[in-house]
Order: sequence, then structure tokens, then C-alpha cells
Amino acid sequence: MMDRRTVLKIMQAAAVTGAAWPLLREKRARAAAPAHRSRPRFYLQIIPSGGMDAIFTTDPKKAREVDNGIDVPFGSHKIIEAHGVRLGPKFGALGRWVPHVAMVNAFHQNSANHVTGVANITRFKSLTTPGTPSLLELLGARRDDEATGAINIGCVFDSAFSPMYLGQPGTFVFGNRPGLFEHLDAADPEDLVAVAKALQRDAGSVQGPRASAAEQRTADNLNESASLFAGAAKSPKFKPVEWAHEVESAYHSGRDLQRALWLFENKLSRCVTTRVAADDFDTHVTNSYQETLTDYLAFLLDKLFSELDKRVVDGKPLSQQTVVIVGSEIGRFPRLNSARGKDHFPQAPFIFYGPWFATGATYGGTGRNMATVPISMTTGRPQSGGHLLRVDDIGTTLLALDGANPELYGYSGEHLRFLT
Amino acid sequence: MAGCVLIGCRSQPGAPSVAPTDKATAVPADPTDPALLRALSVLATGHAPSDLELSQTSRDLESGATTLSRYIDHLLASEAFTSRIAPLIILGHFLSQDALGAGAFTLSHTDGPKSVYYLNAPCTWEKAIEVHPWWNLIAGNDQTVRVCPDSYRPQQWMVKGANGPTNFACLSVYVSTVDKRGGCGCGPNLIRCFESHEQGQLVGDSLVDEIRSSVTHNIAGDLPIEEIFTSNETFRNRYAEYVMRTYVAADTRKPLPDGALSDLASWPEDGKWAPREDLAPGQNAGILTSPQIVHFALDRRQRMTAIYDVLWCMDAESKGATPEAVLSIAGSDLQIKSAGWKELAARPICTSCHARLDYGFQFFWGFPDDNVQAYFQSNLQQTGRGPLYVHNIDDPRGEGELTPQGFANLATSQPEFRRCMARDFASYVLGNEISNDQVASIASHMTPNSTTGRDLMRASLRELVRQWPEQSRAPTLGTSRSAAPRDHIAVTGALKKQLGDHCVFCHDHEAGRPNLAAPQLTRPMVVDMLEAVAFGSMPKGHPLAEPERTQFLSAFINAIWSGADADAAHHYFVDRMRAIPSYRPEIMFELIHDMAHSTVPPRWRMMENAIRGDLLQLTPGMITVTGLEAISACHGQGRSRAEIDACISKALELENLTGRP
Repeated sequence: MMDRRTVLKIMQAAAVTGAAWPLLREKRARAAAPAHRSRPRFYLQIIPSGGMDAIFTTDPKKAREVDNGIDVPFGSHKIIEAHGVRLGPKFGALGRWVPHVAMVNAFHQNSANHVTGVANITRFKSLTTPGTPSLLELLGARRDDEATGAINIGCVFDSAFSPMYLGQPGTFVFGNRPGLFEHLDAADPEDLVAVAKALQRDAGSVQGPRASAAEQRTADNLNESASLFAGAAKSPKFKPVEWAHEVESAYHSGRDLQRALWLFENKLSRCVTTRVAADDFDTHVTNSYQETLTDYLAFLLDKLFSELDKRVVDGKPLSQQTVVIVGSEIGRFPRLNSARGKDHFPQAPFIFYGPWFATGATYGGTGRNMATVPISMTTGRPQSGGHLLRVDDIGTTLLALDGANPELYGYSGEHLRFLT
Repeated sequence: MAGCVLIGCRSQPGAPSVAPTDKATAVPADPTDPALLRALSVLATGHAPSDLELSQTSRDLESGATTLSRYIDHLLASEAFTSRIAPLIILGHFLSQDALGAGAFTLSHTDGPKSVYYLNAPCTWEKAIEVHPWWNLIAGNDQTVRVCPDSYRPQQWMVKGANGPTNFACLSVYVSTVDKRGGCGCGPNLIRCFESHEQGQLVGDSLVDEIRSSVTHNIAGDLPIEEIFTSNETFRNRYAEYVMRTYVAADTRKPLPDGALSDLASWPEDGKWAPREDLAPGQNAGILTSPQIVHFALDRRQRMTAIYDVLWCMDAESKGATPEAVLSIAGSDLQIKSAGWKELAARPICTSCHARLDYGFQFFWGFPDDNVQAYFQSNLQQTGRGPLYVHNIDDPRGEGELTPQGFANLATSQPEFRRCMARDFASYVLGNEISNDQVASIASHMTPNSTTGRDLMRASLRELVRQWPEQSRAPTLGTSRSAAPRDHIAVTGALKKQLGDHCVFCHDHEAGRPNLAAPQLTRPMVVDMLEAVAFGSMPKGHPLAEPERTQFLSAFINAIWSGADADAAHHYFVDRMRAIPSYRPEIMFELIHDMAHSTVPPRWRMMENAIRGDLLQLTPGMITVTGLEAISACHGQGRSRAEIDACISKALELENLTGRP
């Protein structure tokens, strides 16, 4: 049987070999990071899957503010004003968190299709291929002592698969079968330790001074997985509680968010991606269902932000260590179709949470037809001849926030300085 | 004899119709290398040879009693190859994922001698109606069940809304969403319902078995690979056949006649190769019109995406859409009615997907959107002939009858089909180290309506043999020598040559494209170019093979970065986080369970079995699911803790994860 010291040894060795590799190569970029503020420790990406409707959430408009035919499914009196920020009628639960979030409307996604959209917002790049690493994988490779870099929970499109993929898809098309976490939860700690040892042995056999880049990467991956097994062996079992909402039992997104918190608290991963509502934001039929889902999303974010305040890692609440990014792979077309649903739109808003952002405000803008308008890179407000936001800007901004040089990872978007 | 280990050696009369590649003169592998023999066996059969078998094969090879070519043929003659490996290669994720298909209901029932079946709420036994359920009829018994009236509704075929009938059928994906009044019920013989979740799973598995067994039939018979997608017949068990017959009832909106289900009692338990009734001429086309594929997704466009995926290896890629462009589409009702499809198919940017998708679904018009009506409607099928496009509206590929059969004949005659089949087999064998040249070479030697799946596997395995010595001499990590960083990069010397060789024929002052013929390039432009070339989106349609790609990337990396930054850029753009290739997870699991003398468990929910071979590598996720499966395999059989640890250790030896030497 393995004792605690052996477990720690495996974890330490794995963490060093797994994380040191990319860090060693970036000394210059890290040194250039702002010295007055530490970088985020954890990243959580939340995807309201299928396409959140901006009019119900971050960009509610009055009927007089839009062109004829643009769907405004509520009276202007239903729009919520919280701390000077407009929220959709069912987004009220987010109201008290406005001072802690920044909302940015209307990023160009460069695609109106779920598959490519998921590829683009997991990479935060407009042009991706299946071999392009995700942004959270890049950030995960820069971790300190977390077991793994990035874990993906629930994405079902295979475009979410990337070179360092680790996670489990949702049940949509993949079926209600056990996945990675069900197996991990059910495993005996001694078994987990046995696996960790075997994988560490394998890593040792692959790496070495004559190892190719692919072999070195393989050794890193083996160590990363070994570290997850060893870390899970000494972590308390995952025990989600009921986050009571009328549709939680249909989606279990609250459970997935608690899984993310569990991974952070136990330092099992630096970055986590989860999705909300199992693609049901894809309201081609009966768009009014977005109201229910918007209410659900706001409820989940309210619970999540409360938990981030409560839960502590290394003496600091997670809320001071975590970036949360919320946004869909596509948006919804501004007009209703014949089934009173809305089709796809290659533009979507994003919500940013964390002390690194200029919070308590909404940035970006849309015109009378709900299409994005140019903005000032200084204020983030609409400005003629300004910048058109695109998802690449998010990738560039988050990497810069982390102290990395975005160029070195193929990012040529703008650093949104008004946001940070 | 060494030459006969190479691609194209005819080891048996009339066997392979795939000819040698241009690289047939490479230094051959040591045919007795145990690692090579093991990898060949695992890839071809899913099983590792025992030490005894390995040493016997090595001896036979050394003595000349056999050749590597004959060893490969021996492996490909196995039942494991035809029934497991070949379907895995061709069908991929269609074997591990569920078709959305129709939203069939699962019944509940009360307990006791007066059991009553119901959907929403139970009723009394007296109020319940006596019905012959389909599951008893196909099992050959006449037993009836009692079902509550509101759960039966044998005359109901369409969802009733508050204002009357809707367009939504009771057999549709969205039925549970739109039939909030519970007006559909199970229909005659309860054909729209399952008795239990387990039965629903059994029917779902039968639809997966249909496509798997149909591929097996083709491979075992050495039939041309096109026939997988064009034959009227498929291999079905009685549950799959029952599903076909429910579609007939839904199309005619009439209960099935007496005996239309009970004759399935004599259908062979394991299924049979059987014709399908065409409700309209040309309705059926191989596995393309099997429920697992034709009803895989929600609507016509997504259906075509699934079909092009299996047929042409084409993804649902959609790039370049802007809000303004989408807003300007006439009608703007893109999903449900598919209105304005011709305009969409011809629009710049949109055309790269929609010419293929939207002209394609004209051939399948008898299959409506599954979210509305999830069965074939014979009266909708179009007549006449229509065109097929591949890359865009300027890429027509002839015309065919506007039926699934017409589509399949046209689509399988395209070079994209041959390339896809070659890619499927070759990437399964060669993994993420495969090159476009290797795929192209195998595809170019395929003979239409002649080459078989076994031929393609043989060619792929022989390519593995050819490159085996190269794999053993993998290059080591290099360090870069860099110039001082600059904001603008002067295009001279080596940089100019790289751009001239690979880029400027499309990027020489063309409107809407970066001008790479300029004397200076900006850093952002170079960064974008590095990203595009590194990950193969440029040169468009012809990603650079190694070592040209590394040479191109290194030249520009060293021009704009130096020191640690240049090393980091090299790590990202050149190394690309690529690990060594892995076996498919199904294969790894089988090897582990073979070793542990345990049984491979039911399917997992995992992303790793849903992707093509050329993306498979030893990712953290692949390693983790394999580790967890090792735990499962090593438990049981009264093993002690020490034995379990030893079993896990053995199960996770690298040779069970990868075939790479």
C-alpha cells in the first residue's frame, strides 16, 4: 500500500516535469508581466451551449432602439438596471454580482455553426484546425502546482477535442454511460496510486536527452495523468449538493460547476471548461425557452460566485484567484423564424469575472439590427472607425493577463486594455 | 524477399488492387522485429500475439517459410479484422454515439397481476385497453398488455397543438418538447414506445449493429468498398427490421397489417443480409440510409454533415461568417424551412459549406428534418436529376437521380470518396504521424468499384512496415539560432524563397488576401501566417509535409524572435503539442482486458473514440481513460492487492497504448 509520502512524491515529480517544460521557455515574457498584480491561478470557461440570446441577457434593448422585425420579447419596463448596467428580464440573479463582472457585447465568432463555433471559442481564435491547442491548454501548461492543465466537462462536439484533451463529453449523442469522472469517483485510492506509479514509470521510459519533441510531450502527458491519479487518491470524494432550480435535474450543470470547484480546491486542474444546458440554448423552435435557460444560467452564476467567495485554497478565497469566462459558441439570429425560434448568428457576448477585470460595466455595442458596432480600444464603448471585437481578442487578452506573450501562441488579436 | 514486404506485392493471385507507392525503394524494416510484428497484429486484429506466437512467426520469417507480406494477409483474413477492426475504421464515432432519431417514449407500468402500462399517469385495469405490443409480436408470442387509453392512441400520427394539428410528427426528435399535451401516445402495437429503458438501449444497439454488420459483410466478401454505401441491402437483426417497419407505418399513417410484425419471429437471431423495401424508387443507399446515419442528427443540413463525414471525411467547417452577411440573407429562416437555400449555396463564404450541404440534401428530400418528422416520407422524394457540388458552387461534380441512391452513386465516384477511405485506413494505422502524401499515394492507386477494404488495410500496414525504420530514428529536440527581434520583417533571401515556393501564387496582391509578395511583412501578418502553416490550414488544401513545414516555420520564427522567445515559438508552432500516436481506445481496452483475462465492459462516454485516427495521440485524456480501464480490468477474480497492482502495472505498459517502436 502507498503511503502519503509516496503519493506526494509522485505528484511533485509529475508537476515539475509537466509544468516546467513550457515555463522554462518563457522567462522573458513572464518577466514582462505587470509586477503589481499576480496572475490568475485558475480559469473557468462556461459555455451556455447552443447559443445564448443576447437580447435576454447582456444586451436587452427597448423596442424603439431596434429595427422593425428585430425580436424584443419584453416590454422596456422588464429590463433590469443593476448598478447602472442593463440586464435581461430573467438575468436578475446576476444583478448583485454586477460590480464583480464585466460584460462585453458582440464578439465576431467567424462562424455560424456549432462545430466550428466550439472550435473557435475553445481556442479563442477565428481560424482553427483540429490540431490547434485550446487556450485553456496553453494556460494550463503554465500552471504552478496543479496536477493537470485543463479539463473539459460536457462539450459534445468533436471540435472540442484538442492536442491535450482531458475530460468527458456530455450525454447528448454520447449516451448516458459512465465517463471519466464516474470511473474516477468509483475508484479505490490504492488503485489510483497504482496507476499513477505505472504511468510515471512509462514517462521515465519515454523521456531523456535524446527524446524527440513528441516523446517529450508524451512523457509530460503521462506525468500529468499520473499526477491526476495521485492527486485524486488523496482528495476527498466529490460530493455535489443539490443546486435547486427547476431545470437542474434535466441538465446537471450545477453539478458540473461543483465538479470544477472540486478540481480547483484539490489542485487537480488549473483550467476547466464546462457547458450549461446541454445545447438547449439552440432554440430554433420556441425561442421563449431562452427565458427559462437564462434564468437557470443566472441562478448558476449566482451560486458559483457565492461558492468562489466561500471556498479557500492556500489561504485565499477562490474568488481572488479565479477568472471566469462565460460565452456561447454562436449567438442567436435577431429575428424570429417561422417556428418562433431563432437561428444561428456569428456573434456572441461574453461575461468576465475576476479581480483582474474592469468590472461593473458593459462594453462593446450593437446597432439597431443587433450587429456589432466598432468600439474605442480605450473606453470599450462604441466609436466610429474603432475596433470590431473578435474572439481572438479574448485569447490575446487572457494570455497577456497571465503574463504570456500571445504572439508566441499564434494570437494576433487585440489586447482589450479597457477590460483589464 | 525484402521487396515483398513493401506495398503492392501481390501475395495471392488477384488480391490487392492497390499498387505500390513511390517510396517502395526505402530501406526495409527488419521483418523479424517483435515490436513490428506485435504492432501489425494489434492493428489488424485488436489482439496482441503471445510470446510463443511471436517467436514462431519470427522463426518462420527468418527461415523463409513465410514473408511479412503473407503474415499481413494472414492477419487480414481473421474474423477479428472483418467484424471489429474494419467497421471501427470506416464508421468511427457512429459506433460509439447514439443517433438522435425519433424521440420514442419509454413506458412505465404498475406492478401486480393487473399490470397497466402508461406514459404520464396510470389508469385502472378496467379502463386500460388490451393491445398486442410489438415486442411480443416480434418474439412470436400473442400475449397482450393493458395500456391506458391516453398512452395508446393508435390513430394519432401528428402532434396536436392548442390550435389543431402541427407539422410535428409523433415520430420526431422534438415530440417530447412540443407534445406538451401528451396527445401522441404509443400508436398501434405501441410501435412508438419501449417497454423499458433496457429495451430502448437494445433497439439502439441494434441500429449500431446494422451498420457494423453491413460493413463486415462487405469486408468479409471482399466486395468493392463503394457497395457499403450503395447497396439496397443491409445486415439487420429483428429489432433493426422492426424500426424499418415503424417508418412504413408512420409514412402511410396506417397501422401495420396483421402479420407485418409477427413474421419477424422467424428472423434470424443474429440478423441477416436482407433487402429493404423502397417506399419510393432509390430510397435506400447502403448504410447512408440506415437509421444510425440518416437519423443521426436533427435536421437536413446536419444529416448531410454526418453523411459527408463518413463518405468524404469532410467536417462541418464553417468559417468567415459575419453578422452583416447572415443578416442580409433573404428570408432569414435558415433552419426549419431551409428557405433561400440556393442563394445561400452560392454566396461567398457560405458556399464553401452550403453548396455541398444544400444541393446534397435535395437527394434526401424524402427524409425531412428529424426534429420535425423522423422517418422517410415517400411523397416528398423529388423526381428528376440534380447536381452535386463539393467545395463550392464553382465545383460541380455531375448530376444524378434526386434520390439517396442517385446521391450515393455520384458521391462514391468522386476522388474525395477514395481519399477518405484511404485516409480512414491509413490514419488508423499510421496515426498522427501520417502525411498527406501517404494518403494521396494510397488513394491514387484505388480502382473504382474494385478496391476493397482489405486492400486498403493491406496497403496501410505495408506503409507502416516501410516507415518503421524511420520511426525508430525519430529526430531529437533541436535548439534554434535566432536573429534580433524586429517589428517589420524584410522579405529577402531564405524568407523570400519560402514564400515564393509555397505562398505567393495565391497571395500576390490578390484582393481580400494578405499580400505576401510585399518587400516587408508586419509581425501580426507573420504570426497569422505561422499559425496557418503550422496547423495546416495553409497552403490551402495542401498543407506542407515535413521537413518543408519545419523549414518554413523555422525561417520565419528566427526572423522575428530570439532566445527563449524563439524557443517557445518553436515549441508551439513546430512541435504543436504533438505526442506519439496511440492505438484507438477500443483497441487499448481490448489489449488490457486480454492481458487481465477479463471482459471488455460496455461502452464508455468519451471523446477519444469519436475522432479520426490522424488526431489520436497519447493525450492526458487518452492516458487517463486507459488508466481507469486498467483498474476495471484488474479487479475481480479474487486478486490480492499485490496482484491488482501487478496487473495494473502490466496493463499500462506502453506497448498496450501505442504501436510506435
